[in-house]
Amino acid sequence: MTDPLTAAAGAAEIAAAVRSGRASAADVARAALDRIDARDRVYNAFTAVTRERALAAAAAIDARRARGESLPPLAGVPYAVKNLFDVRGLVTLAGSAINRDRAPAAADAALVQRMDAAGAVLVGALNMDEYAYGFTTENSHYGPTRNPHDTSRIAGGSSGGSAAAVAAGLVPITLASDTNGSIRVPASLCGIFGLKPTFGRLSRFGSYPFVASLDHLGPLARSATDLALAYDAMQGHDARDPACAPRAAEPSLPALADTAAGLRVARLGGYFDKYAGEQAAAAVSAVCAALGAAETVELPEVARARAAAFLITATEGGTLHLPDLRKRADDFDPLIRDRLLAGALTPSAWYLQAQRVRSWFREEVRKRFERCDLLVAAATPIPATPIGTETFTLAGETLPLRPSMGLLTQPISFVGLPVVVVPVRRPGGLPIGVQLIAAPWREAVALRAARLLEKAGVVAAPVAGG
Amino acid sequence: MTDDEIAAWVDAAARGLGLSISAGQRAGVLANFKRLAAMAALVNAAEFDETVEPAPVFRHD
Repeated sequence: MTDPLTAAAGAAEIAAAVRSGRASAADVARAALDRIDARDRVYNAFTAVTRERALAAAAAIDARRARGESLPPLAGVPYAVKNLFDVRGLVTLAGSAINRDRAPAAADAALVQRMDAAGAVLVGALNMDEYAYGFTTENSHYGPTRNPHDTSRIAGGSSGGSAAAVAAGLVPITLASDTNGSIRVPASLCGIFGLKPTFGRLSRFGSYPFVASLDHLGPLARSATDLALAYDAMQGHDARDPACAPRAAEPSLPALADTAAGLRVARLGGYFDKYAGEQAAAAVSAVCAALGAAETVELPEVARARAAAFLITATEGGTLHLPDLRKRADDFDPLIRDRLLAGALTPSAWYLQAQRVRSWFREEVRKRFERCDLLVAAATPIPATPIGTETFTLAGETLPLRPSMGLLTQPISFVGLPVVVVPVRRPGGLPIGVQLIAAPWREAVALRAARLLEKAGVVAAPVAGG
Repeated sequence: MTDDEIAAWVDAAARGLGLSISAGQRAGVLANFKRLAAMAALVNAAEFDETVEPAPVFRHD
């Protein structure tokens, strides 16, 4: 049994220990805070540590247990959130310098409220690409977040802090956002599990936006069970978020251990093969073999779908920031500023055509899911690159690194499909992740497949950086 | 769009939106807009009839 005070302890183990009285929530919280103090200097995952709040929340959990109450499913589990989530009393930075001028949040984001209601203990806020417009977390205001597997390399983005904190075992669960790949890319590069649920599944209330049409929120963790635990705690309709579907919670934990019997799995070919480098392709093959993937399927016009997502992102992202672009453009990260400026100038005809491509592509994808339950593709073309890398070469083509890290994730989130990223074991090599893509609202299928791959020894997320 | 058309569009659209593009920003904005135009070429090559409506659909709960 893993000691719940160590970096290696997962959320399920910690909650079991706290609920049974084997460990106090206070000791668990202090251990996490000590790990952050001792090691985060190297990774630069955290932008704020909520020490007092964490110790108070932990004390409250211990007091409930002392009163003989039964404790909720995430009792005593330390967690942290990307700094675009509102945390009461903290300024919601969203990776920017401009947001420093805003008043502190008056209330927690919906998902923070739900994690706390499940007994989890918030320990801090995490670094990200400015305004979520990046795949590398090379932040000019707060510094780059470093990959715990090799600190000269990127952690991925835009949720780099969320991924690095989990990969390094500082906390077992973090929350993040994914618009075109911002959960899945860092999960891949940091060798951990990530869940981007169906678009509209989890409430976005109280989080700073990027692209209203495409933003998703979700958890990162070092096991499928921990992802399911966090996901189940956060589910359920929230009328405060207009994009949140009026859909009842569908717990994923009960069926997590179900067998693969009858699961129809297919490898995604075409575009998804073209942009998978050698390690990515090998990882996909290992996953497909273990899941008994019977065939390769292709989606039509994937490059067009990706281009449409790119346009929608640029237009909505750029327009959101117009007031600040007019008044204080030089306070943005220069690379992001110029992308936002260009996006704000997009003709409306292009944007609307991109939204029509979205309707069309959604229908094409729906047809594929009539014959199949799970699609498999790499999460990133390549593993983590050194911080500052500008380009990479794939199949003879030289590609700009920063936008291209999301080539494989962008077409999938474009139509809001639920995805679990699983870290394929590559002893001696850098990690790389694989996307398990399910039909809309079938997160439980992807989570179940992830659990199977763990039991088969194909995927795992041991703590990095010792 | 040619590079000249892009520059003309960027300058006019920026003025129309009350945005001033400084000398230091111009190269980056033009380069990014050129990439957006390339994406748009791919997107605009799709031919849809009137039954393909832009997503998403506004709906009351």
